[in-house]
Amino acid sequence: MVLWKFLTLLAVGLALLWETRPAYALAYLSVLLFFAFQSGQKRLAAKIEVVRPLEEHFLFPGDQRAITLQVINPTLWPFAWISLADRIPRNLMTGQHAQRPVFSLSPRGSHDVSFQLTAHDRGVYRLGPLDLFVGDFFGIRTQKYQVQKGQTVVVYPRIHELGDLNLPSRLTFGSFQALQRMNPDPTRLAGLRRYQMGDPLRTIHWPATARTQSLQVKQFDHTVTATCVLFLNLYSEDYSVARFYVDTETAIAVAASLANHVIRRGESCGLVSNAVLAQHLPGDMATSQGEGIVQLRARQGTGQLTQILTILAGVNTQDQKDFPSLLTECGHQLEGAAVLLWVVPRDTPDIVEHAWGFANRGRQVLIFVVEEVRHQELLWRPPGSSLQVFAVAKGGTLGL
Amino acid sequence: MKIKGFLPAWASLFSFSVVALGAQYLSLLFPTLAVPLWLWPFLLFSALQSAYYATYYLSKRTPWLLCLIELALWMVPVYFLSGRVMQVFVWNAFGIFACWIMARGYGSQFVFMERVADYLGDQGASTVSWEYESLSSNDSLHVPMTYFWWRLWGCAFFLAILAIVVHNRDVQLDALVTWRLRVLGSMAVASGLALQAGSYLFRLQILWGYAKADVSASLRGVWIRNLGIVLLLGVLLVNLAPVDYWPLTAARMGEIIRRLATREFTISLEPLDSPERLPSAGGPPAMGFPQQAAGPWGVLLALLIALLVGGMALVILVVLGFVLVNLIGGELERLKGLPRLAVQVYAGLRDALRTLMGSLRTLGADLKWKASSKKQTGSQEFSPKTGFARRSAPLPKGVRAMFRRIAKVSARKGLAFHPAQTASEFGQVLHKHLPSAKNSVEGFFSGYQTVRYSKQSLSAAAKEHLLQLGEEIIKEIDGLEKGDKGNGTDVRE
Repeated sequence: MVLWKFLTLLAVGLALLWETRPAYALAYLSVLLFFAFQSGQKRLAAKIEVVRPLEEHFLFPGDQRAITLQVINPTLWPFAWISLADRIPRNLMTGQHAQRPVFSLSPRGSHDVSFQLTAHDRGVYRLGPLDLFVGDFFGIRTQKYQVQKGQTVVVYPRIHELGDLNLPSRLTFGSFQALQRMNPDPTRLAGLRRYQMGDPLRTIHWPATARTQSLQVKQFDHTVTATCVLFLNLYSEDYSVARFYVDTETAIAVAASLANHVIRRGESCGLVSNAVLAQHLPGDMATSQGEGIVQLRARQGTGQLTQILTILAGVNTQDQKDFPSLLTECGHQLEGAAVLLWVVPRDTPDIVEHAWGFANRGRQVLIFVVEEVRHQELLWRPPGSSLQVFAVAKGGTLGL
Repeated sequence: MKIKGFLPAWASLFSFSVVALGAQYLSLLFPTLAVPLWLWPFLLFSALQSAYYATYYLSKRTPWLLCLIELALWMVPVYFLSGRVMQVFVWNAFGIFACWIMARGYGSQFVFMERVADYLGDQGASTVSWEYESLSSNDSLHVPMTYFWWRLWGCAFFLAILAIVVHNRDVQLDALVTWRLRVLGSMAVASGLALQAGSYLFRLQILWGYAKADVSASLRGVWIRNLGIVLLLGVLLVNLAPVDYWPLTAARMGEIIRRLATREFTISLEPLDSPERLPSAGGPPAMGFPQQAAGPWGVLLALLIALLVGGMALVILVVLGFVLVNLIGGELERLKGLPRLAVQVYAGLRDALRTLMGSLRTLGADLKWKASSKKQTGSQEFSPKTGFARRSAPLPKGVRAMFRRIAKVSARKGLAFHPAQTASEFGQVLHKHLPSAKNSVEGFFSGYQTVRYSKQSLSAAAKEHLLQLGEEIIKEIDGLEKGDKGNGTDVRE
């Protein structure tokens, strides 16, 4: 470029010293192209505005979403070409190559640019900053600007049917059989018995009565609704190095699937985990965080499920607090929690000992093991047992 | 039309304006070198031919003979038009050659720019970066655009020097010449800058293709429109900006220096030596070999020299022969590709003519539509999404033209008429895809067979009926979604 500026000065010198219109024309054009246009474009391109929507996007793995940015030229300067390069994390990229939109901007014009996102893996991702390249008509100079505004995209963990996780698809917890028989649950038929005085007429089982020629009444199980709390172990030392990524993601997917299962059944569910949260997680979460602890109180409803999934999208492993410590610290805070769902890599003796402790205090503990089950005797215990162990995804269809 | 289609036109326009302008200035300096007006179209068209030919057909395998034929095509008429006066012809031919070779250089450069893979080598396409490719980049020496910049600046500098020389010779310019110079100058500025911008866009388009960039469909249109504004500004600047206002010109500086020198440093420098002391040019030569009689050594020396000269001549002849044989061999090899080239040129010209005729037809139809829409503005339907409802293209008049129209419309919907298909087979495909227009398709295609392959002539009513059927088919095709396979069959089945 120095050479061309030197030639411009030469043209100017030629024009000033020897005059004539062609010489002046050369000088004018050279000054215009190599000085005026460049400085003008540099100054005016800095005024280009990129409007990026600030709200977060929430996606499930496999979802596609287009995010649209608006590029506005508030000046009277026409820009020959503008190229945008958004820093899109690889887990959100569509196709093999980064999208590089190129367009032209007229004076006081605007252009909408869409970037197609494809959610591949769960996580909390940050789009941006955005690189804006501006070029002129003649290929003299290109300029680069950076737009710092970012945008958060939350990709929820994959949710599976329990059958896909090698778990009993009719796994019952939350609403379980009560020890004190107070409220018969008409949805749980336990058997038939002879009619006794005082039995309500609507409990009479007419087909059985017809067959036996004596009045038979339906006998129901008695249930209560109890609160579930998910405990997710994300202590990195507990996972084997060889399958670290796969198993941690499996554990998170299991937790998300269990939460989905519980809340869809109308029960309340909370979450406790020894994890750290991603930096850009949306800030309106009703979580309480200690050092290496993420805790969400048990509630019902879709809003609660969204919160749990959002937290699970942003959790990462940590190496400060192990699972027994988490249980010790958070165990006494489980107000009203009757069912504890633990998602762990292994059912170590320490964990099982803690589980028996909770079971002895009247709680039901279901341990979901994602790596290796050590207490085989606890596998496939009768439904309703106070302590059960489940092996997750061994041979299941979990495709992580 | 792609930007590549415009570039040779801009290049030839620039070549023409530079050469014509240069010739105009030279004719002002040397009146014998005047450029006749009839030469101007020759200059322009030779540049056009050369640029388009180089852009689309020239390769390393093109025979030299063809270039000579091309030149001869331009030179022979010029020779006769020059009144067979060699001196006039040489100057005119030089102008044509300058235009031709300049345009050819641009055309060759366009071809070179397209061969990105040659200089990308094993580099991945994803590494192609246009964002930094500019004159100001550190790698600017290897940027193909520098070629255009050097030519533009070189031509401008050459013309400026010529103009300065003319100016300093105090040549009187009449109004016509001034006007010509202005027009040619403006044309040179506009076409030069347009060429510069167009070739940059061409370069970018090539890189965008390699880098798989998502280029906006409207970019080219907006680019060209905005470039038009910039060019207009450039032309206005060149013509209207003030000139010759600087007080300290070279002439004045020379005058000042001369005055200073005459006032303060009036030292009369006498010659170092008087002319009488200088050696006389007419005297006997001081240098030279004395003439002596040749002895036996002299004869031997003469023989050696003769042998040496003969040997050298032999070597030169052998080298020359080797080069000639190679050249002629290569040329003969290249001439084998001449029929193919001829076919390519013919096909290219035919396509160009078709495109041109199509554009003219569309333009005419647009003008007619605009004229009719002005009359019917009140009754025109308006949809908020597409603006005014799109008019249908004027329907063709003949049955065969209607068939071509059907093939064209259906191709847009993914039901292309494959060259290997007969009209009847194409009709069957349409039959499958247009269940609601089965009767129309059958009727039209049987009528088409009659018109195309039998010697029977249809009555005006029958012809009208066929055209009506064709119109119905087009309407049905327009209603299809693009890529709609109808009942799952493919066009080429």
